[in-house]
Amino acid sequence: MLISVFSFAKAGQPDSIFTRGNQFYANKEYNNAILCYEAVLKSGMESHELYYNLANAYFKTGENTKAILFYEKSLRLKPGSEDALYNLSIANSRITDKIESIPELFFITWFKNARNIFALNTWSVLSLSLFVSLLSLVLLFLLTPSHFLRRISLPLTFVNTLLFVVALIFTFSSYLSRTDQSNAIITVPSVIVKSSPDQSATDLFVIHEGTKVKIRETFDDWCEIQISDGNRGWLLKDSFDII
Amino acid sequence: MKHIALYMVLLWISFTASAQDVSFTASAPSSVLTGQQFRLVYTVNAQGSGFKAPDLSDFNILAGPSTSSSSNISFINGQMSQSFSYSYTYILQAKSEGSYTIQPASITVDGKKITSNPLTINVGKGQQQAQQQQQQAQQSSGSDDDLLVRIILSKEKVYQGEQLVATIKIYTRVNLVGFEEFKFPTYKGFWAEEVEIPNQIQLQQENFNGKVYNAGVLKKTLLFPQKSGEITIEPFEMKLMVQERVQQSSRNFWDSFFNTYQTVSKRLVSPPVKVTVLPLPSAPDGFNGAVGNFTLSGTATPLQLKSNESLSIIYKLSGTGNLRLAEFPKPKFPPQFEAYDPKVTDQVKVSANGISGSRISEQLLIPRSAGKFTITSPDFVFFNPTSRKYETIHIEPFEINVEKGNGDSSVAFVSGFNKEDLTLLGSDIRFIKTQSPEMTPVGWSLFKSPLYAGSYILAFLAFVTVVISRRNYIRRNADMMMVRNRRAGKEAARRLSQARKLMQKQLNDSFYEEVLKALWGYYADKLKIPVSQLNREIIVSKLKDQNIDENMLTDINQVIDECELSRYAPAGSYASPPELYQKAVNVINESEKKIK
Repeated sequence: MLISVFSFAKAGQPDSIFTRGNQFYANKEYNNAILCYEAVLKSGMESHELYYNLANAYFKTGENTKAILFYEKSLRLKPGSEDALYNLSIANSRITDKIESIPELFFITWFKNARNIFALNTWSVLSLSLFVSLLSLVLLFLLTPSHFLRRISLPLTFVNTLLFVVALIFTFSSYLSRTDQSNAIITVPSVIVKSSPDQSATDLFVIHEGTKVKIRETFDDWCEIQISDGNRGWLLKDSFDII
Repeated sequence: MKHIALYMVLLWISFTASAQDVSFTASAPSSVLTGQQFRLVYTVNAQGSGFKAPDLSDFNILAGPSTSSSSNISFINGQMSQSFSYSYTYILQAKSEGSYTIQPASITVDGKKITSNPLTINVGKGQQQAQQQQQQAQQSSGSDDDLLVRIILSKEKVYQGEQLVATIKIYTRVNLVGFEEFKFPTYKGFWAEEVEIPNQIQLQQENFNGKVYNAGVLKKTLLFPQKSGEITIEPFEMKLMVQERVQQSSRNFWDSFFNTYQTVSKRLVSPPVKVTVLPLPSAPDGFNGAVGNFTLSGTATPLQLKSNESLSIIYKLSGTGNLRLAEFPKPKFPPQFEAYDPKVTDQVKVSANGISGSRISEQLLIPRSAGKFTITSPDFVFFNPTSRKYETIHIEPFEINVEKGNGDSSVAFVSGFNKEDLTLLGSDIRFIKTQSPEMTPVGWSLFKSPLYAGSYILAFLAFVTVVISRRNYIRRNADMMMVRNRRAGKEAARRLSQARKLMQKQLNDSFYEEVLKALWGYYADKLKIPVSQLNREIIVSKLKDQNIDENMLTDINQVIDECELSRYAPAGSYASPPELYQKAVNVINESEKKIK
């Protein structure tokens, strides 16, 4: 079975392997489904659905940590995806660490929510079209012999400029959060966070598999991480996977 | 007569034999512990006198010597035979460790002095009374293979959950008087079920280790291993009373008939036994630990009912195996059903062949709303040790049709109050995305692609191009107008001279046409009006823009009107061609002066 999946993976197109994986998933052959999805990933293609399905398959086989990692990857491609957020919350309810997270400032949450309405590509297309329409309005204003059109095009140009700037900001913000490499999931069962990048340093606290951390700094094989309650410390690089 | 003589001879022989083979023996345990009590017994099989004990100063004499005598008289074939046994018993206690020799005692029988055998007693270090006794007991059991207990297992290799029978058997070649205490094994790691056996222990002859014993079953237990691996069953211990023949060195003929017995308490310990429990092969879904050979039936009655009436689901599991550990399939009931705990009744027979019979589970359900419901029982999976395979029993789903209950039930559920809260039946992740996704290379985004930045640049370039080209067009247009403006006067003069030639040739129609052309063309060029937009209103409004006074406007209009009218009306009705020609020249000259 395994061989057939791999030979299939080599021969087929990413789309058909993905569909094959879905069939395996529906038949509850989760391990084969994982093989298919991973094969698509290996072929260098990605999509938020792929990460989401892979995370589901990992969840069903009991690999909660990997499930969390791939839900997060899915959310990175499509922030605000409701299904992925729901399943991630279920997977997160099974991890060991319960960390009280510092509440975000309300306008940052608003900004993120507004940004997460669209994915990066949508924002990109939107800002480009607003740019084009802005240029058209300016052209109309400059060239029209009609007084009426000229009078109307001026406020329209202002509104369009405003929209374009907002869309551009969201596009940049989406792009930054998409390419952000500073979030990671702990993948080892438990690890001690040190006070400095050194094995003999003071033990600060212990975190467990599945916990999300933010990477702040890197030094040799060590990374300074911050957990959601604000505590910071140093960890070896091999104890987490970057989302 | 001859016979009587023979009997006489025989009798004599026997009497002389008994008289000659007087035995006087001493007996005591060969090793004891300090502080331990033991018996030193001197036995003589004839009437004696003058018993003289040896020096026993190495021991404490707790009691004795006490004498006892027994005499057996037996009649065989009408002949009487008699045997005596006298015993002198000391109860001693060892003082200190070491090896001691008890010198022979002496006694006089029929005037002869006979001595007993010497005894050597090793005294070991004893600690506590209880331990001493235990050791003594072990000694007696260890040294004695006439009496033993065993735990016999029906199988030594079983699967986890497969039943085996442990039989505790006693083997004896001595007379048993009574049992004192038992310590049965606790069968750790097993679920044990006792098999009923008759209260009376029946002894049967059995060959074991090349000897014939009387063997009897003390207890039979069905065992179901609960974990895999090698499990050692604790030994069985028992204390019992046996009749033991008093040790005698003589091989007296009479002794075989007239044995002397004493009742001894013995402790028996069974050798340990081991069971290898094989783990079950990897279990399929739905396996609950049932091992054996089973059949399962499931029924639901009634299948047609009204809401708030009850129905019951009955499962009957029968067969052999670990019936009592087997779990019934637990179907998921629709949330509209009120389910009560199932009632389980056992009809189970425990025998040496295993637990067999049936187990019935009856569960009461009350549907609270009408509708068609399907209750699906999960498959029942059990492991069959004989075939070494898992077997699955599938039970057809129950289709239950619940009709609306009649009036009295609707009282309980007044419509409108019948709303139910949405109850979450369980939490699970949502299903996968099945639609074909738009795959992109890993790390690719439209924003980062050169195409995207290119589109911005392209749009901007297009914008700039449009603006510039429009500007150029406007400028070039303006240039052309200037040229026409400069050449307006010359052009008009050329047309007018043409008109004059036509006038001299009396070609009036062509003359008027030429004059009109000269006028229209002049104003179009002079006022930078495109030919397509040329009409009189535009010319007038443009002229007004140039601050031309009313008189001149009237003149211009008049000339144009007269030209047009003369052209289409009969000749001579208006100004003659020379007059008109002069007027046109004047108007153009005036305009040339005033229009810039």
